[in-house]
Amino acid sequence: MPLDLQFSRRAFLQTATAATLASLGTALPRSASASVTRVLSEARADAVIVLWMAGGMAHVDTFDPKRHTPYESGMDASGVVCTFPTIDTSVDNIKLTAGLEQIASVMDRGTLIRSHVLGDLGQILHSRHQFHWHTGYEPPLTVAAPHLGAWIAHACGRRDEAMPPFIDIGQPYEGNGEAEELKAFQTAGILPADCGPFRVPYPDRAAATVRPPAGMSRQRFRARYRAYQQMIERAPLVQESQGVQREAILRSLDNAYRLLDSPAARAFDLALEPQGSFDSYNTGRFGLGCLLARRLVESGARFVEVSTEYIPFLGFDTHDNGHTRMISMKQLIDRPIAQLVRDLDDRGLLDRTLIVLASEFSRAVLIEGKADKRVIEGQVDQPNKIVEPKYYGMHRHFTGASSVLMFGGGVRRGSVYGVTDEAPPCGTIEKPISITDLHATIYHALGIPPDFGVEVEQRPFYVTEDGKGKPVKELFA
Amino acid sequence: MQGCFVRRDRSMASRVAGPYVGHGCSVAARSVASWQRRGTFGVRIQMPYRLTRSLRLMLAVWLLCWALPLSGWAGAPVDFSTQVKPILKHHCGKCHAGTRRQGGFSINSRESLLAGGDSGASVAAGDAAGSYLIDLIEEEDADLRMPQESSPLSPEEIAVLKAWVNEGLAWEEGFVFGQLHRRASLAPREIPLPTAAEFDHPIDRLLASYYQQQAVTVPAVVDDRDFCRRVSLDLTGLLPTPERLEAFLGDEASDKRARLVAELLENRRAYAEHWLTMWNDMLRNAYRGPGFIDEGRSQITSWLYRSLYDNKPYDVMVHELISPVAGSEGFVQGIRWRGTVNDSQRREMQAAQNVAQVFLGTNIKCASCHDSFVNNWKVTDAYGLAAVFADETLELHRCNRPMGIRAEVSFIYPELGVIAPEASRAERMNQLADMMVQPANGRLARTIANRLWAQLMGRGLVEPLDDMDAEPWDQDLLDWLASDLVAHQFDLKHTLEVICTSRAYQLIASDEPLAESATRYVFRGPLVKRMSAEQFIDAICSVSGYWPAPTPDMLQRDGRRQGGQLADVADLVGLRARMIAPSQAKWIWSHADAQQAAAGETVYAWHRFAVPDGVRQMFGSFTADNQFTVYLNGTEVATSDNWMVPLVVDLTRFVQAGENLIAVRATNLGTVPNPAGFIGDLAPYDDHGTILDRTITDGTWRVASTEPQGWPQPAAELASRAAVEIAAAAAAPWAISDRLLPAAPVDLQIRSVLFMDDSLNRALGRPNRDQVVTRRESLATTLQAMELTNGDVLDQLLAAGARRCLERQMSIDDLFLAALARHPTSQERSIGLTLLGEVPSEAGWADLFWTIVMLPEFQLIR
Repeated sequence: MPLDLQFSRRAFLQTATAATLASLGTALPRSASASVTRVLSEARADAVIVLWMAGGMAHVDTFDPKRHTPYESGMDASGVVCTFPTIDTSVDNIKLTAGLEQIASVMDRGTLIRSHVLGDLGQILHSRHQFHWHTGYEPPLTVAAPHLGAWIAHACGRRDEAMPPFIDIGQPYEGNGEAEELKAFQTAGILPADCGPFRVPYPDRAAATVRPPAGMSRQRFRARYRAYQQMIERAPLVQESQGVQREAILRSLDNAYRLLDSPAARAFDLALEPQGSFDSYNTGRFGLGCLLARRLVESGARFVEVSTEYIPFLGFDTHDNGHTRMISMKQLIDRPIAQLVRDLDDRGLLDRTLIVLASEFSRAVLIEGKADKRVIEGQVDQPNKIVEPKYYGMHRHFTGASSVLMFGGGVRRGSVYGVTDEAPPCGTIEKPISITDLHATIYHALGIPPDFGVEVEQRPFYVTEDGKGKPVKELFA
Repeated sequence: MQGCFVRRDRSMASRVAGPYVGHGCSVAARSVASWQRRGTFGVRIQMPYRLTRSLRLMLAVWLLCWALPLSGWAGAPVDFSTQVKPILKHHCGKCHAGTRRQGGFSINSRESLLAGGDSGASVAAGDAAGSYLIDLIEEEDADLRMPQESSPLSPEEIAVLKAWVNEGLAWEEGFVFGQLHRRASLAPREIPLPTAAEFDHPIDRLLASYYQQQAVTVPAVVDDRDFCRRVSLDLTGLLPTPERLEAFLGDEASDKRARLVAELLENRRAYAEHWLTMWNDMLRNAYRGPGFIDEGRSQITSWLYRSLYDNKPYDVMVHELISPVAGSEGFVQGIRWRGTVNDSQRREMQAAQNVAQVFLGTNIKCASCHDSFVNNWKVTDAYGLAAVFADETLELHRCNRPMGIRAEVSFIYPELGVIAPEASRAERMNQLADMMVQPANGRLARTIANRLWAQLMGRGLVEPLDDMDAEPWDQDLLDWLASDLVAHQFDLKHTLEVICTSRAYQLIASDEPLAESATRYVFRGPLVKRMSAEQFIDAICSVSGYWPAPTPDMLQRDGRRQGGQLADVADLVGLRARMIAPSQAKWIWSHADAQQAAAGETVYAWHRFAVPDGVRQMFGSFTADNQFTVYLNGTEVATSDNWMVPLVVDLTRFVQAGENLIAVRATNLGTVPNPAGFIGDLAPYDDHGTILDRTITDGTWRVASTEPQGWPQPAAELASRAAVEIAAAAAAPWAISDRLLPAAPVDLQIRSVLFMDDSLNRALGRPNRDQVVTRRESLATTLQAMELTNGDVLDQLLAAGARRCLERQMSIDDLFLAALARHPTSQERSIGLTLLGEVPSEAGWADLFWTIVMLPEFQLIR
């Protein structure tokens, strides 16, 4: 039952002047000032969903199949090219690896980029590459760089007045040895705090994030707010009746309650999803995250990221047993991603929703980073001869090529972009796309120019590094 | 074609080559040569204009077809400030604003724009089609097009400019692009005080002429209630207790405000714990964060807390931060991320940037990458200062590209002296520190005086706080405050006292909508401030009397040297050393083979214990590999599935006199056999915070493999066996003894500033301390409101506070007095009574508490 909170909103907010409210809506932190470029161009997409393959997803074992080299005890590590057989997709000239059959079946609705080249940050490390991918800037920095989602929230604003514009799903901090590094980029940075992520670490418990605290009934919750409004209305102090700080407090609480009272709140509640649909997504936390993302975008979210969750040495961070662990990761992602694409398409939303699947880097059997770079001592102890299955798979961090999958938002359907080498480590040989240009492409879909930015400490700070990103327009239909 | 172009001499072109291109600048230094080849406004363009004209017309028609309606100005005139200014500044400013007049052309003012450049007129007001500037930005040939330095203007931007020209070139009155950078005087300046007129206080004597000049009607002074609340929060971060408030109100003496100020400043602990927030932000002292992971960073908590506690003179503080003593190394050491970082972020450069920003209020961040355009600093200045902190010779880099020039040790204000380049690093840092704190450096005192003023008044005498070259709204007042600080041996408390005893500080605060952005700022008294995250949380605690127990990570540094901040200051906050001794508890399980326990295996364990007499408070700390639920006398008190972070629980309200029963259900998770165990430690405290007999997990506990009858209150005689002691708390694989600690005892009042970051304090503005933060944003946001409305952290804080309110038998009047420094009106009392219900319940109190702490009246400092 929706909460009846509207009864005295008018009285509650009556002191707010139009000018005050206008300034509240757009106020940048005092440390940052007006936008450097304010003019947006025509948008192809209204919303973005980033599907984050956290930990470094090996391109050759997922979206960029190479010659299958099955496991044999005693095989040369350097002879391992790809640990999965190739499968067909709904597009003749696009092949994927076994385990991604569902995504293969919707390949005709999207574009596969095989030539995403990650930054050379000296050492290939999750934390810095994740920061780089999500902000477009290499850490550390002298100012707090905003997350991609925060930029989009700031530039495009809310789609729905109740729905938080930037929602981050599936990445808890508790117990994570690199939580601090995650916090460094999961932030609005120099942008207004309201552009920052609304965090939903556990999608199955998402409803709780927009409900009264545990143990508090709706009735009690409502009575509490009603009493609050009465207190405000009957406050004895004349001087209480005006001012920007006061308005901001009242307005923000009203916004929070409005979310609780809105259809947006119902979007968070996966229990409201028909059982069949729920089951079709439910491969685990990530699958439910995809379902939640769909529901949120349907209800007006601007930017949603769903992570497979980064935990050092778990998930896609396959430093051993690469092949078997990839099997289970594919089971986690294949079905819900395909379902997300189908659902959005069926509902006519895919054309205006850009889905981007990406990872901070890829992996290879032996090569760390650039071909001529030395592997850091002791990082991965991969033998030359593989005699145990645990050494079979893609284990070492590799930045030379990474697969990015895009659907919707005006992106070509059934298309592939970029070519990688057939020989290990299978680096990019045609049409490389950097993070800067990939970001420019995402921003382009939303009508945000690559040199959109804000002024901070009297200097411009742009959505893409130095404002120099170049959208790959060829990717769009 | 409008006249002939004149070739500028090459030295001009190369002098400005490689200018600022953007923030990170990885591509900035790309090629000076190509830049020169492409020319500027002043370089001869030989291609006949008419060749491209038809193309341009086609573009214009196409633009009109779709671009105009999209950008939302159809019908409305173009707004110069919000639409045109950013475009001109962004695309043209690098070469044609301020002192830069490439091709003799400057956009500085409407007049200079109309005057055109060496090649003649640039714009014809009202006639975009006949304006050469428009031709140039629309040019298809990249070699001829403006801007030369960067990507072409978008069709939308061009359309804005065209409309603006066609509408007659509207300009913001008095606005000038690229104004010359003001440079403030470095030397201290003695300000003779004007003779006392109406008021005797030096600040008010100085301000008298300001008010007169600005025709300010000075508001009235706040009443005693507001003053008491404001000054308590401003100086100690705490609300006045009702008793103190009452005594203050009843005090008839004329000097009572001054005495209150002095009294607050004398509370060393409260003062230190309030100002620690600001200094943690400014010196980016984080208890945990990026960089700790491989010892790339260290805390300065102990040094900082003690410096504030002892009111260490500011010049000594600065000296010790720049030329470190034991415990203060973290500031100049900076943050080292793994991997190679941009040259402008090497640790020596971080030190230089932060010394300049925090202590001198100047920005050399830009100049650490390229010659700055926001002020006068050059790359050589930034590297000169960085070289002071360097072990080896630094090579200058422009935008991360080596310049083939070696950095020479220098100071950004050479008039203050020189640093011997041949001296050791430690000696150079010492010389720099000496130079910084010498009396000739008036900037040091001005910068900190301005920061303190801003903390108290909500806005600085100079804004931004980190640009002390900007013009103060009252130079004399700034200079006097700075000189007075120096004259009082850099005693920060003295300056705070001076400001707080002034009439200017005591004026009624204003909360006007972003006045300063609309018009020029005029001082009319303090601005209304919002409580910081720390003030808000502390205020809630002090109102109820419930202060959360510290968590183990605050008491013990982890393997990365994170946490342990409370232990650093244990002696000053009343913690006893014995409290943080490692636990003697044992990991227990139902059988000896617990290192290879089956996946999914569940164990039931219980223990009876007596609570000793004289227990005031009892805490338990528990964890299990992997999942557990603890019951005390049949009530669930703790559950978790994260063995790495033992739960600390206040058990006080669950324990009973005489015998108690603690029962635990623990489950080993996973898919293959793996280590399992449970461990717990219960510590009772007496009124003095002394630990009485502890109850620990060991072989005296009982265990069963199936759920005993009556669970979680199994009968004593049930079939069971003795628990098996698997390992000591410190043993592998868990090694958690240092995290399995009893919490602090009663009434230690550990303040929010000393806690780890959590969702509540982060939502309320505690920053990532990865960058220097000299001011937090204070306006409420919706994300905050979500946390305040639904978040667990506040909910639990209020619930625990409500229990304490009930225990203390507080009345609604008590609550209002403690929270708002006033009694409720009869209407408010009746709203409160309705919430509380006939028999006040914990939930009722929690709800009433919530409504009060959400009030603007509570959250704002006025």
